[in-house]
Amino acid sequence: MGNKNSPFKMVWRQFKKNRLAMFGLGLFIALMVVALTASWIAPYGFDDQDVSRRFLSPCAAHWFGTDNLGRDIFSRVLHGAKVSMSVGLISTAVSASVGVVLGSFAGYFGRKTDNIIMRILDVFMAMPQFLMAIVIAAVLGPGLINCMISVGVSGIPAMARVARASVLTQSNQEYIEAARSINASHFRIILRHVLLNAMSPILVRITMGLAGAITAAASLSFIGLGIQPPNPEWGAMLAGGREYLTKYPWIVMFPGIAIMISVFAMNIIGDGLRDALDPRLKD
Amino acid sequence: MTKVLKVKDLTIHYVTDDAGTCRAVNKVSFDLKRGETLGLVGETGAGKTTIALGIMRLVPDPPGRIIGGSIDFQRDSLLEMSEKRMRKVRGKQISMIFQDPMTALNPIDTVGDQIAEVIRVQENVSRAEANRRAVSMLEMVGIQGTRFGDYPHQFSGGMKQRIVIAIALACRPELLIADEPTTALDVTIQAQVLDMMNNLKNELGTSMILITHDLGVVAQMCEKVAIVYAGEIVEMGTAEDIYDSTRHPYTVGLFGSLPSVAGDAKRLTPVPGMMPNPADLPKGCKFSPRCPQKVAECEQHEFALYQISDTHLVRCIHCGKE
Amino acid sequence: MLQYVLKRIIMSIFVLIGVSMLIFFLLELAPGDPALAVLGENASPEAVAEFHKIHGLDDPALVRYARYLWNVLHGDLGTSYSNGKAVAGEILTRFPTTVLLAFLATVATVIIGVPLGILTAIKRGKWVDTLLSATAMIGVSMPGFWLGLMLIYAFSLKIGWLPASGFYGPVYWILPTVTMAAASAAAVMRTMHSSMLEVVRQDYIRTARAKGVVESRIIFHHMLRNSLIPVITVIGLQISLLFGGTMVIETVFSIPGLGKFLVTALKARDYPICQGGVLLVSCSYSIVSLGCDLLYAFLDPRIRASYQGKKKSDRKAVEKNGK
Repeated sequence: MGNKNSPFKMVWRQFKKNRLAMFGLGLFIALMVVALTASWIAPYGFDDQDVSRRFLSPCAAHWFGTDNLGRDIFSRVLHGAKVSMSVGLISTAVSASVGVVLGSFAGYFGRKTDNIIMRILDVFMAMPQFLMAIVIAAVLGPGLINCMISVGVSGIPAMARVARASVLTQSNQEYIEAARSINASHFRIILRHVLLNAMSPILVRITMGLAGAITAAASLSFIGLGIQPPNPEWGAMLAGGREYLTKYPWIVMFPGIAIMISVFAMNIIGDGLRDALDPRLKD
Repeated sequence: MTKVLKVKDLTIHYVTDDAGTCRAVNKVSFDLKRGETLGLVGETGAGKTTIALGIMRLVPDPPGRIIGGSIDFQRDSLLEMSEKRMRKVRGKQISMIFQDPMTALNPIDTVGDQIAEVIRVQENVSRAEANRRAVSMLEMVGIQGTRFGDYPHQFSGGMKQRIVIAIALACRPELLIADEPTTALDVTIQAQVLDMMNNLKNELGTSMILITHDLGVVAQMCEKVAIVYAGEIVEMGTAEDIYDSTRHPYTVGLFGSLPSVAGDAKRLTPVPGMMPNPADLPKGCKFSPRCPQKVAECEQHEFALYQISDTHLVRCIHCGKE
Repeated sequence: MLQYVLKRIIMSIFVLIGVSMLIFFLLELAPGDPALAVLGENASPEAVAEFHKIHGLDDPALVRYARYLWNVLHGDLGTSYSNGKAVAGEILTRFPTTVLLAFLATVATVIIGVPLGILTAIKRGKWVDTLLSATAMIGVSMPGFWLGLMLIYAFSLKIGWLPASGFYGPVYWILPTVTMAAASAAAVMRTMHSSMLEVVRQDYIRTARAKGVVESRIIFHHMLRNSLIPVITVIGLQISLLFGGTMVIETVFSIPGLGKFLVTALKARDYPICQGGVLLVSCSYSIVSLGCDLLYAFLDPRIRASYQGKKKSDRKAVEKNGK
């Protein structure tokens, strides 16, 4: 695959042309860097309380101000990146791995397998996704791992559906029939192309799913069913700052902006990926 | 006989950011008389469709642009007309049908409505009257009038193309432009559709420009033929001129590449090489890179069409010396 | 068509039974005794036993589920663990508020999203498109609860134009609806935009232009109706998200709806309320889903034909008439 025109390189070249998508990618990388280095770059710890410095509005020493316990919000937001990114990535990994396997099996093997899997999925999809996440979270209890599981499991049906549709579309293409009528070793090359074509809607869905997972985790934590304080999860920070909204809105504002930026980055990467993978060049 | 259409030096370019300027049509000129059928023949990519779109002023802009020439229809200049006026021409005085019938019809409108639409838009008639005329158009193209309320997906490819023809002829246009109307159909259906078009043409007195790459179809349908290559007309004349007195090396090559049931050729003889990239046309004669009769001068100058008889024009150095 | 609707309704009933089973056994898996959650950790063993007896918690799970299902099919959704009142009553009194909120948000989504999507597609590349598309991107990325709080801060606490909580009248509807509709409308707008761009490339648009049809009719008669089909899918999806979102938004705005009630019940381990509530929400969503599918049939005759299973008779008609 060191070929200059391998499908991955072609997609990457197309993606690179999209300035907005590259900006999103840059944002995402920045967020990952922040998440990984938060402990070193944050000026304060995420739970360094100083009651004498409560409710300070944004200033030089505290760029985002301090909260009701005197903690530096900027540091908490930075640390929160680690929490949100890890929840987002792991829960999406859960949804994607289980969902893609289920969906591909259903799409590829068809008939009975498809029927059984689809009926089960129908039951899951009758419930709004977030409702399912809330129920699972309520059953498991609060906590980081449980939050990952709830958000991850609730995302499985949507992923399975996309995977199934994608595999079904590919299986019906004429080039598969053509592949079957020729040499097996050619078939392997085509299998690579099949996978790439089948993967493209799935990959796009994964980036969108990542955006949704971060929001879902934040929402869960906001209503008290996800990640608990003092863990600096952005949604939990919003819940904590809610009662002080009138006089000290920055406690709520900055974590929310952080969520927005993360989700925004994911969304434009997803858009860029979808456009780059589209075989019909845009006019 | 009056000339219905006069195209002179029509030039159309497509300007793109990443692929450069594509010179799709270069100084194309031809005339059409009333009731005459002109065949525009050439390979895919020669520019035939673009010429047709230019006449209809349907060239997508951006990236396409008509940058020169004139098109006179009856007594009006099509290129100088306002868009509002042009809309009255399309569908009523000049109609066009396209290559792929499968996608040419709106899937969520009944076929009857789609025929009636052009009648209602172009003529001041009541809805009931338009519907009545739509039914008679359906019958004229050989489809039961009772199928007025059916949807496109309920018809086969051949029938869809007939509906497209019904739409095009509903307002009795003076000129019909047919862009490869039977290419997407199988041969038996092709014969039926062409027959039908011929009959309608004779009945209604319509002039026609038939775009095709199939010399067999041209022989069946056209009085006049123009061979298009790389955006230019390289040879033009009556059907007899082109078929019996073929002069341009490209045309000779085209006829030579036709497979023949008679004779015992073991291999096909295509014209070697490929049509040049319209964004990167060669200097001089556009066909020279592939021409078996090329001489040094061919790559230096471009040549104009020379009139070698009353009706026959050729763009070639070997035919120009008089 | 009626046949199709009936088939769908029967399938939905089975699906909902599946949902009730799923929720029941999911709640079974929760650690801890619901009696202790409701009565408190220090409840006496007698109180706990009494609780178990009242709510039939001593029987094995399958028996309890069978009993539950039997009751549901007879209209009895059980009694709340927290206050012993009938579940049906508890959730049905709060349900209309949630429905109203979801309905208003859906209407706002469609009214804002569809026209703006058309506008940005027509004016593609111009500043209107860039501005609106950027706004939409940001809108889709904003977490609802955050937007709600920011709006409360701006319009209620600072300017004082709108109330911050409650749901007593039209003026109370504005902020929650805007909060919920923001992300949805943005998503619908983006889908409408890309759908229109897809349609504008189609050959039948070129055919319409070749007929001399005016641009406005091309947009509204030819492009719009064909573009709406994928948009309806997205609207259906958004409604699902809206149902989920009401649980959070009602918490933010202290709206006494089913969403907030369910969250409280889940935390308090009031299982009958949870089961009933989830069932009701799923049931509503199934109805919405069916509505979307019927809307497809209304718009697209090909889908209408497939619902009516007419494909065979169409083929025969084609054969009879000849090609």
